Amino acid sequence: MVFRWRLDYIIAVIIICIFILSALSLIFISNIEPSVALYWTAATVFSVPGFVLDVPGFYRLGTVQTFTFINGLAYLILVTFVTAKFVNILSRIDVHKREMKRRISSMNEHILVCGYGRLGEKACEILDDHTMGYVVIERNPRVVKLLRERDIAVVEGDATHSKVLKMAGIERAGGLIAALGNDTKNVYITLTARELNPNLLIASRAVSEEVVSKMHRAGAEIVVLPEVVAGLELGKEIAEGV
Amino acid sequence: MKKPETLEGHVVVCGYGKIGEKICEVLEQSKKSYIVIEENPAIANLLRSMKIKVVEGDATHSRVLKMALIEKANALVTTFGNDTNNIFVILTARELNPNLLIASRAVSEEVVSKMHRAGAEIVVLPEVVGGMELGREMVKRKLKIRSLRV
Repeated sequence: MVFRWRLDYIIAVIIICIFILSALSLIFISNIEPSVALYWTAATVFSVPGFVLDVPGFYRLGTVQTFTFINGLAYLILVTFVTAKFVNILSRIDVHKREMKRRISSMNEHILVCGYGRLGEKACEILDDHTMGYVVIERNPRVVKLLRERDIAVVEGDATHSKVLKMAGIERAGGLIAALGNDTKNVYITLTARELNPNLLIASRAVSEEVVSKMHRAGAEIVVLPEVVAGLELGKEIAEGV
Repeated sequence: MKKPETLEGHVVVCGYGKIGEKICEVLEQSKKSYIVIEENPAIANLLRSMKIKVVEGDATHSRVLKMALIEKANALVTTFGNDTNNIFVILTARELNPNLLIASRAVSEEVVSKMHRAGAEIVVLPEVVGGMELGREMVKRKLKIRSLRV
Protein backbone atom coordinates (compact mmCIF):
# COMPACT_ATOMS: atom_id res chain seq x y z
CA MET A 1 0.00 0.00 0.00
CA VAL A 2 1.29 3.43 -0.88
CA PHE A 3 1.47 5.84 2.00
CA ARG A 4 -0.55 9.00 1.46
CA TRP A 5 -0.50 12.18 3.50
CA ARG A 6 -4.03 12.05 4.72
CA LEU A 7 -5.33 14.69 7.10
CA ASP A 8 -5.70 12.10 9.88
CA TYR A 9 -2.01 11.29 9.79
CA ILE A 10 -0.92 14.92 9.62
CA ILE A 11 -2.99 15.83 12.65
CA ALA A 12 -1.82 12.79 14.60
CA VAL A 13 1.81 13.68 13.84
CA ILE A 14 1.30 17.31 14.90
CA ILE A 15 -0.26 16.33 18.21
CA ILE A 16 2.37 13.70 18.97
CA CYS A 17 5.12 16.20 18.13
CA ILE A 18 3.63 18.82 20.43
CA PHE A 19 3.26 16.21 23.15
CA ILE A 20 6.89 15.05 22.93
CA LEU A 21 8.24 18.60 22.56
CA SER A 22 6.32 19.76 25.59
CA ALA A 23 7.39 16.84 27.80
CA LEU A 24 11.04 16.99 26.73
CA SER A 25 11.40 20.75 27.16
CA LEU A 26 9.85 20.56 30.64
CA ILE A 27 12.21 17.75 31.59
CA PHE A 28 15.41 19.15 30.13
CA ILE A 29 14.98 22.95 30.19
CA SER A 30 13.08 23.38 33.44
CA ASN A 31 14.41 20.23 35.18
CA ILE A 32 11.00 18.96 36.17
CA GLU A 33 10.55 15.31 37.11
CA PRO A 34 9.65 13.20 34.00
CA SER A 35 6.50 11.76 35.58
CA VAL A 36 5.19 15.20 36.48
CA ALA A 37 6.11 16.59 33.05
CA LEU A 38 4.31 13.77 31.22
CA TYR A 39 1.31 14.05 33.52
CA TRP A 40 1.01 17.79 33.04
CA THR A 41 1.46 17.55 29.26
CA ALA A 42 -1.17 14.86 28.95
CA ALA A 43 -3.53 16.83 31.16
CA THR A 44 -3.18 20.00 29.07
CA VAL A 45 -3.28 18.35 25.66
CA PHE A 46 -6.41 16.36 26.55
CA SER A 47 -7.63 19.23 28.73
CA VAL A 48 -8.47 17.55 32.02
CA PRO A 49 -10.73 20.02 33.85
CA GLY A 50 -9.98 21.25 37.37
CA PHE A 51 -6.42 20.11 37.22
CA VAL A 52 -3.77 21.99 39.32
CA LEU A 53 -0.25 20.70 39.96
CA ASP A 54 1.15 21.06 43.47
CA VAL A 55 4.71 21.90 42.53
CA PRO A 56 6.16 25.15 44.00
CA GLY A 57 6.78 27.84 41.38
CA PHE A 58 5.62 25.53 38.57
CA TYR A 59 3.24 27.90 36.83
CA ARG A 60 5.77 30.72 36.85
CA LEU A 61 8.22 28.77 34.64
CA GLY A 62 8.62 30.17 31.11
CA THR A 63 8.40 26.75 29.46
CA VAL A 64 5.21 25.90 31.32
CA GLN A 65 3.58 29.15 30.29
CA THR A 66 4.57 28.69 26.64
CA PHE A 67 3.42 25.12 26.52
CA THR A 68 0.15 25.85 28.27
CA PHE A 69 -0.64 27.86 25.19
CA ILE A 70 0.75 25.37 22.64
CA ASN A 71 -0.90 22.38 24.31
CA GLY A 72 -4.16 24.28 24.35
CA LEU A 73 -3.79 24.69 20.63
CA ALA A 74 -3.18 20.96 20.21
CA TYR A 75 -6.31 20.30 22.24
CA LEU A 76 -8.29 22.61 19.99
CA ILE A 77 -7.10 20.78 16.87
CA LEU A 78 -7.90 17.43 18.45
CA VAL A 79 -11.42 18.41 19.46
CA THR A 80 -12.18 19.91 16.07
CA PHE A 81 -10.96 16.84 14.28
CA VAL A 82 -12.74 14.35 16.50
CA THR A 83 -15.99 16.29 16.14
CA ALA A 84 -15.62 16.35 12.37
CA LYS A 85 -15.01 12.61 12.29
CA PHE A 86 -17.99 12.00 14.50
CA VAL A 87 -20.29 14.08 12.32
CA ASN A 88 -18.96 12.26 9.28
CA ILE A 89 -19.75 8.87 10.79
CA LEU A 90 -23.22 10.04 11.81
CA SER A 91 -23.96 11.33 8.33
CA ARG A 92 -23.02 7.99 6.82
CA ILE A 93 -25.83 6.23 8.61
CA ASP A 94 -28.32 5.80 5.77
CA VAL A 95 -31.43 7.60 6.87
CA HIS A 96 -33.07 7.13 3.47
CA LYS A 97 -32.59 3.38 3.57
CA ARG A 98 -34.24 3.02 6.97
CA GLU A 99 -37.10 5.30 6.05
CA MET A 100 -37.60 3.45 2.75
CA LYS A 101 -37.60 0.12 4.56
CA ARG A 102 -40.39 1.33 6.79
CA ARG A 103 -42.31 2.77 3.84
CA ILE A 104 -41.99 -0.41 1.75
CA SER A 105 -42.90 -2.67 4.65
CA SER A 106 -46.26 -0.87 4.84
CA MET A 107 -46.93 -1.51 1.15
CA ASN A 108 -49.00 -4.37 -0.14
CA GLU A 109 -49.89 -5.55 -3.63
CA HIS A 110 -47.58 -2.89 -5.02
CA ILE A 111 -45.74 -2.92 -8.35
CA LEU A 112 -41.96 -3.16 -8.63
CA VAL A 113 -40.51 -1.14 -11.49
CA CYS A 114 -36.98 -2.27 -12.33
CA GLY A 115 -35.02 0.46 -14.09
CA TYR A 116 -36.05 4.10 -14.28
CA GLY A 117 -35.11 5.09 -17.81
CA ARG A 118 -37.53 6.65 -20.27
CA LEU A 119 -39.53 3.45 -20.29
CA GLY A 120 -39.69 3.04 -16.54
CA GLU A 121 -40.59 6.69 -16.13
CA LYS A 122 -43.57 6.37 -18.47
CA ALA A 123 -44.72 3.18 -16.80
CA CYS A 124 -44.55 4.91 -13.42
CA GLU A 125 -46.58 7.82 -14.76
CA ILE A 126 -49.31 5.42 -15.84
CA LEU A 127 -49.26 3.68 -12.46
CA ASP A 128 -49.47 7.10 -10.81
CA ASP A 129 -52.52 7.97 -12.88
CA HIS A 130 -54.27 4.87 -11.55
CA THR A 131 -53.07 5.48 -7.99
CA MET A 132 -51.27 2.18 -7.79
CA GLY A 133 -48.43 1.95 -5.30
CA TYR A 134 -45.05 1.19 -6.77
CA VAL A 135 -41.40 0.87 -5.80
CA VAL A 136 -38.64 1.71 -8.25
CA ILE A 137 -35.42 -0.30 -8.27
CA GLU A 138 -32.62 1.73 -9.80
CA ARG A 139 -28.88 1.30 -9.90
CA ASN A 140 -27.78 4.82 -10.80
CA PRO A 141 -27.29 6.85 -7.60
CA ARG A 142 -28.05 10.12 -9.37
CA VAL A 143 -31.42 8.87 -10.57
CA VAL A 144 -32.10 7.49 -7.08
CA LYS A 145 -31.46 10.91 -5.60
CA LEU A 146 -33.83 12.51 -8.09
CA LEU A 147 -36.53 9.98 -7.23
CA ARG A 148 -36.09 10.64 -3.51
CA GLU A 149 -36.57 14.33 -4.19
CA ARG A 150 -39.82 13.51 -5.97
CA ASP A 151 -40.87 11.39 -2.99
CA ILE A 152 -41.05 8.19 -5.02
CA ALA A 153 -40.33 4.95 -3.16
CA VAL A 154 -36.99 3.69 -4.46
CA VAL A 155 -34.50 0.94 -3.67
CA GLU A 156 -30.96 1.54 -4.82
CA GLY A 157 -29.36 -1.55 -6.30
CA ASP A 158 -29.18 -4.08 -9.10
CA ALA A 159 -32.59 -5.62 -9.73
CA THR A 160 -31.00 -8.90 -10.84
CA HIS A 161 -30.03 -9.59 -7.23
CA SER A 162 -32.75 -11.35 -5.27
CA LYS A 163 -31.67 -9.44 -2.16
CA VAL A 164 -32.57 -6.16 -3.80
CA LEU A 165 -35.91 -7.52 -4.98
CA LYS A 166 -36.65 -8.72 -1.46
CA MET A 167 -35.75 -5.29 -0.14
CA ALA A 168 -38.42 -3.86 -2.44
CA GLY A 169 -40.92 -6.26 -0.86
CA ILE A 170 -41.37 -8.70 -3.73
CA GLU A 171 -43.05 -11.28 -1.49
CA ARG A 172 -45.96 -8.92 -0.88
CA ALA A 173 -45.92 -7.31 -4.33
CA GLY A 174 -48.68 -7.64 -6.91
CA GLY A 175 -46.67 -7.04 -10.06
CA LEU A 176 -43.26 -6.41 -11.53
CA ILE A 177 -42.18 -4.42 -14.58
CA ALA A 178 -38.71 -5.23 -15.92
CA ALA A 179 -37.83 -2.14 -17.92
CA LEU A 180 -34.08 -2.51 -18.40
CA GLY A 181 -32.64 -2.12 -21.88
CA ASN A 182 -30.86 -5.45 -21.68
CA ASP A 183 -32.69 -8.65 -22.60
CA THR A 184 -30.52 -11.01 -20.56
CA LYS A 185 -31.00 -8.92 -17.45
CA ASN A 186 -34.75 -8.68 -17.97
CA VAL A 187 -34.99 -12.45 -18.40
CA TYR A 188 -32.93 -12.94 -15.28
CA ILE A 189 -35.10 -10.57 -13.28
CA THR A 190 -38.21 -12.35 -14.54
CA LEU A 191 -36.84 -15.73 -13.46
CA THR A 192 -35.76 -14.48 -10.05
CA ALA A 193 -39.03 -12.68 -9.42
CA ARG A 194 -41.09 -15.72 -10.45
CA GLU A 195 -39.12 -17.85 -8.02
CA LEU A 196 -39.58 -15.42 -5.17
CA ASN A 197 -43.29 -14.86 -5.74
CA PRO A 198 -45.29 -17.30 -7.89
CA ASN A 199 -48.41 -15.10 -7.87
CA LEU A 200 -46.67 -12.07 -9.31
CA LEU A 201 -47.89 -10.47 -12.54
CA ILE A 202 -44.71 -9.90 -14.52
CA ALA A 203 -44.36 -7.53 -17.47
CA SER A 204 -41.07 -7.22 -19.27
CA ARG A 205 -39.52 -5.12 -21.96
CA ALA A 206 -37.77 -6.98 -24.75
CA VAL A 207 -35.37 -5.53 -27.28
CA SER A 208 -35.05 -8.50 -29.59
CA GLU A 209 -37.90 -10.61 -30.93
CA GLU A 210 -36.11 -13.91 -30.31
CA VAL A 211 -36.20 -13.33 -26.60
CA VAL A 212 -39.99 -13.05 -26.34
CA SER A 213 -40.61 -16.81 -26.11
CA LYS A 214 -37.82 -17.12 -23.56
CA MET A 215 -39.37 -14.39 -21.46
CA HIS A 216 -42.75 -16.09 -21.53
CA ARG A 217 -41.11 -19.35 -20.51
CA ALA A 218 -39.22 -17.54 -17.74
CA GLY A 219 -42.56 -16.43 -16.35
CA ALA A 220 -43.47 -13.08 -17.88
CA GLU A 221 -47.17 -12.61 -18.66
CA ILE A 222 -46.71 -9.40 -20.62
CA VAL A 223 -43.85 -8.74 -23.04
CA VAL A 224 -43.52 -5.43 -24.88
CA LEU A 225 -41.06 -4.73 -27.69
CA PRO A 226 -40.69 -0.95 -27.96
CA GLU A 227 -38.01 -0.97 -30.65
CA VAL A 228 -39.75 -3.55 -32.83
CA VAL A 229 -43.10 -1.82 -32.49
CA ALA A 230 -41.57 1.55 -33.31
CA GLY A 231 -39.69 0.11 -36.27
CA LEU A 232 -42.85 -1.44 -37.67
CA GLU A 233 -44.76 1.77 -37.13
CA LEU A 234 -42.13 3.92 -38.82
CA GLY A 235 -41.78 1.45 -41.68
CA LYS A 236 -45.53 1.31 -42.26
CA GLU A 237 -45.94 5.08 -42.20
CA ILE A 238 -43.12 5.51 -44.67
CA ALA A 239 -44.29 2.68 -46.93
CA GLU A 240 -47.77 4.18 -47.02
CA GLY A 241 -46.51 7.71 -47.50
CA VAL A 242 -44.11 7.02 -50.35
CA MET B 1 -17.70 1.58 -52.42
CA LYS B 2 -20.07 1.46 -55.36
CA LYS B 3 -22.34 4.40 -55.71
CA PRO B 4 -25.90 3.22 -56.29
CA GLU B 5 -26.60 5.46 -59.27
CA THR B 6 -29.79 3.75 -60.30
CA LEU B 7 -31.89 4.60 -57.29
CA GLU B 8 -34.81 6.97 -57.50
CA GLY B 9 -37.86 7.49 -55.34
CA HIS B 10 -36.26 5.34 -52.67
CA VAL B 11 -36.26 5.51 -48.86
CA VAL B 12 -33.11 6.44 -46.95
CA VAL B 13 -32.85 4.60 -43.63
CA CYS B 14 -30.27 6.15 -41.27
CA GLY B 15 -28.95 3.69 -38.71
CA TYR B 16 -29.43 -0.06 -38.78
CA GLY B 17 -30.17 -0.98 -35.20
CA LYS B 18 -33.25 -2.84 -33.99
CA ILE B 19 -35.57 -0.15 -35.30
CA GLY B 20 -33.78 0.26 -38.60
CA GLU B 21 -33.89 -3.48 -39.11
CA LYS B 22 -37.66 -3.57 -38.60
CA ILE B 23 -38.19 -0.64 -40.94
CA CYS B 24 -36.18 -2.40 -43.64
CA GLU B 25 -38.26 -5.53 -43.14
CA VAL B 26 -41.47 -3.59 -43.65
CA LEU B 27 -40.07 -1.78 -46.69
CA GLU B 28 -38.93 -5.10 -48.11
CA GLN B 29 -42.41 -6.53 -47.66
CA SER B 30 -44.06 -3.59 -49.36
CA LYS B 31 -41.48 -3.80 -52.16
CA LYS B 32 -40.04 -0.31 -51.74
CA SER B 33 -36.48 0.37 -52.71
CA TYR B 34 -34.35 1.63 -49.86
CA ILE B 35 -30.78 2.38 -48.89
CA VAL B 36 -29.23 2.17 -45.44
CA ILE B 37 -26.69 4.60 -44.01
CA GLU B 38 -24.68 2.89 -41.31
CA GLU B 39 -21.55 4.00 -39.51
CA ASN B 40 -20.45 0.66 -38.11
CA PRO B 41 -18.27 -1.11 -40.72
CA ALA B 42 -19.14 -4.57 -39.39
CA ILE B 43 -22.86 -3.95 -39.82
CA ALA B 44 -22.28 -2.32 -43.21
CA ASN B 45 -20.41 -5.41 -44.39
CA LEU B 46 -23.16 -7.64 -43.09
CA LEU B 47 -25.72 -5.60 -45.01
CA ARG B 48 -23.65 -5.80 -48.18
CA SER B 49 -23.49 -9.56 -47.81
CA MET B 50 -27.28 -9.54 -47.45
CA LYS B 51 -27.48 -7.64 -50.76
CA ILE B 52 -28.94 -4.58 -49.08
CA LYS B 53 -27.79 -1.26 -50.50
CA VAL B 54 -25.70 0.53 -47.93
CA VAL B 55 -23.63 3.70 -47.56
CA GLU B 56 -20.99 3.49 -44.88
CA GLY B 57 -20.65 6.74 -42.99
CA ASP B 58 -22.09 9.24 -40.54
CA ALA B 59 -25.57 10.30 -41.64
CA THR B 60 -25.19 13.73 -40.03
CA HIS B 61 -22.78 14.68 -42.84
CA SER B 62 -24.52 16.04 -45.91
CA ARG B 63 -21.94 14.34 -48.11
CA VAL B 64 -22.96 10.95 -46.82
CA LEU B 65 -26.62 11.81 -47.35
CA LYS B 66 -25.82 12.88 -50.89
CA MET B 67 -24.04 9.57 -51.42
CA ALA B 68 -27.34 7.92 -50.55
CA LEU B 69 -28.86 10.06 -53.34
CA ILE B 70 -31.05 12.05 -51.00
CA GLU B 71 -31.95 14.50 -53.76
CA LYS B 72 -33.75 11.75 -55.65
CA ALA B 73 -35.19 10.02 -52.60
CA ASN B 74 -38.83 10.11 -51.60
CA ALA B 75 -38.45 9.56 -47.88
CA LEU B 76 -35.96 9.43 -45.05
CA VAL B 77 -36.11 7.70 -41.66
CA THR B 78 -33.62 8.41 -38.90
CA THR B 79 -33.47 5.87 -36.11
CA PHE B 80 -30.55 6.95 -33.94
CA GLY B 81 -30.81 6.62 -30.18
CA ASN B 82 -29.58 10.19 -29.89
CA ASP B 83 -32.07 13.02 -30.32
CA THR B 84 -29.52 15.64 -31.34
CA ASN B 85 -28.19 13.40 -34.10
CA ASN B 86 -31.70 12.73 -35.34
CA ILE B 87 -32.56 16.44 -35.42
CA PHE B 88 -29.36 17.21 -37.24
CA VAL B 89 -30.10 14.58 -39.88
CA ILE B 90 -33.65 15.92 -40.28
CA LEU B 91 -32.40 19.48 -40.78
CA THR B 92 -29.73 18.46 -43.26
CA ALA B 93 -32.09 16.23 -45.22
CA ARG B 94 -34.78 18.92 -45.34
CA GLU B 95 -32.23 21.37 -46.72
CA LEU B 96 -31.05 18.96 -49.40
CA ASN B 97 -34.51 17.88 -50.50
CA PRO B 98 -37.58 19.94 -49.59
CA ASN B 99 -40.03 17.35 -50.94
CA LEU B 100 -38.80 14.54 -48.72
CA LEU B 101 -41.13 12.67 -46.37
CA ILE B 102 -39.16 12.54 -43.13
CA ALA B 103 -39.84 10.20 -40.22
CA SER B 104 -37.78 10.11 -37.05
CA ARG B 105 -37.36 8.22 -33.84
CA ALA B 106 -37.31 10.36 -30.72
CA VAL B 107 -36.09 9.36 -27.28
CA SER B 108 -37.36 12.26 -25.23
CA GLU B 109 -40.82 13.77 -25.37
CA GLU B 110 -39.55 17.34 -25.25
CA VAL B 111 -37.82 16.92 -28.55
CA VAL B 112 -40.93 16.02 -30.57
CA SER B 113 -42.00 19.62 -31.23
CA LYS B 114 -38.43 20.48 -32.19
CA MET B 115 -38.35 17.62 -34.65
CA HIS B 116 -41.58 18.75 -36.24
CA ARG B 117 -40.19 22.25 -36.51
CA ALA B 118 -36.97 20.88 -38.00
CA GLY B 119 -39.02 19.27 -40.73
CA ALA B 120 -40.03 15.79 -39.67
CA GLU B 121 -43.56 14.71 -40.64
CA ILE B 122 -43.63 11.56 -38.51
CA VAL B 123 -42.10 11.22 -35.05
CA VAL B 124 -42.22 7.98 -33.07
CA LEU B 125 -41.17 7.57 -29.42
CA PRO B 126 -40.36 3.90 -28.81
CA GLU B 127 -39.37 4.23 -25.15
CA VAL B 128 -42.32 6.40 -24.22
CA VAL B 129 -44.80 4.24 -26.11
CA GLY B 130 -43.27 1.07 -24.67
CA GLY B 131 -43.33 2.43 -21.14
CA MET B 132 -46.95 3.48 -21.48
CA GLU B 133 -47.85 0.10 -22.88
CA LEU B 134 -46.14 -1.73 -20.03
CA GLY B 135 -47.80 0.49 -17.46
CA ARG B 136 -51.24 0.22 -19.05
CA GLU B 137 -51.11 -3.55 -19.42
CA MET B 138 -50.05 -3.85 -15.80
CA VAL B 139 -52.84 -1.59 -14.61
CA LYS B 140 -55.45 -3.28 -16.79
CA ARG B 141 -54.68 -6.78 -15.58
CA LYS B 142 -54.28 -5.71 -11.99
CA LEU B 143 -57.65 -4.00 -12.04
CA LYS B 144 -59.19 -7.10 -13.62
CA ILE B 145 -57.73 -9.30 -10.89
CA ARG B 146 -58.96 -6.88 -8.26
CA SER B 147 -62.50 -6.89 -9.64
CA LEU B 148 -62.45 -10.71 -9.83
CA ARG B 149 -61.55 -10.88 -6.17
CA VAL B 150 -64.38 -8.53 -5.24
